[in-house]
Amino acid sequence: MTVIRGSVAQLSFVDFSRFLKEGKLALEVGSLVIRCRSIMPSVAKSIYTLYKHHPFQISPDFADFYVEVKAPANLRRWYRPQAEFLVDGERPFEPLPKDQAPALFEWGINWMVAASCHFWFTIHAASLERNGQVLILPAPPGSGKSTLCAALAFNGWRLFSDELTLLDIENIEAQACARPINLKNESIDIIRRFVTDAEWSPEVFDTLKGRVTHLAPPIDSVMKMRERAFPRWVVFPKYVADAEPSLTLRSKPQSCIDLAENALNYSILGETGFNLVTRLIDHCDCYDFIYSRLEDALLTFEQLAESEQLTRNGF
Amino acid sequence: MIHSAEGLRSSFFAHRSWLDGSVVFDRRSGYTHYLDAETMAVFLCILNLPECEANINRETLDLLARRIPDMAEVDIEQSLQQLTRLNIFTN
Repeated sequence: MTVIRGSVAQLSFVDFSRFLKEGKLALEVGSLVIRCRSIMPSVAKSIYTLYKHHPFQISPDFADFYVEVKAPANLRRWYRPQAEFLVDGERPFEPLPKDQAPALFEWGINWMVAASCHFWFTIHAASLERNGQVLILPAPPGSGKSTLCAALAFNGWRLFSDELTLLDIENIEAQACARPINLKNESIDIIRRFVTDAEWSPEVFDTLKGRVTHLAPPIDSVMKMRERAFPRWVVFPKYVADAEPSLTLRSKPQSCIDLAENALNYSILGETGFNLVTRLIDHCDCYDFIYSRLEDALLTFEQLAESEQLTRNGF
Repeated sequence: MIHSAEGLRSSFFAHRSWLDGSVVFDRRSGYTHYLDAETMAVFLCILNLPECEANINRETLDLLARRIPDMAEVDIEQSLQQLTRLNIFTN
């Protein structure tokens, strides 16, 4: 059977919604093929907006995962309706209020990759590429990681991921997914002012994380999402109000421990994970970065990338 | 404090060192530990002791002090306590 392929934007929204409703639509996200089903209009609208430039297939013979966002078959259909996420027919977590369905699709895919894709070393970190070298930004929630990632992704850096950095366990090469960037609370307003020509999913209120939305990845990042690159920098960012920008070298062994703590499958991979994280640290310069203004951050990372480029060119 | 390195084998561990410290992966527990340079020196020295199977007693401390002449005995004792705290040794 001939499989229909293209980029999502080539489909009309009506056709897209029909394929999604029938469970025939498969999105290509990095090297994963994710077959999707949902009859919820809000989910269709969100995926159509956020994955506009991603390749799709209709009824492919193979998909890595089958996911669905739907209303659970319970009395909640009538009173405070909910949405649930299914992957390969299993429901990994409890349903959420129906208005969070579009975000649930994104969070569900994050969970699916973190829980199942152990052929990658998965770090809870943003990652971006410039001049063929990857910057990894691991950080706990609230450190400004996604805000910084969004600003960089729309200012000269190629987005790999805002949430899950995926490294090949054989050669530590980073794999891009170019998925939507999850922003919350004040970060939404900051990036709306900073990135004026981007596309967004509708905002969702009163989630566990507060007000959240997703920002569509830049088209260039999606077009090049199959191009891998090696990590070069590991930078632990921290937003501190009114702070001057400060990029300082960081202890390698401490960075190794902190990366292991941020790795989602470190304990599953065991010694393979240890060998991988030590190789990663060998390959990378490690820094702490404190900032308060995105303009300063962009300049700092620009200088970091440029100094590396000069070194590589023998200056 | 008596520290026991009984049955300790270098094959239990993988490790990697940089100028500012080391990390050790304990194959028995799956845990990864950060060790400063001094503690790492003591750790490697103990793994190389032929009497590694016994408790670390006065005689062992003297031997460690001779093998790591740059470290004061009090620092060696602190490193041993750190290795015990991390469950690399038992006490």
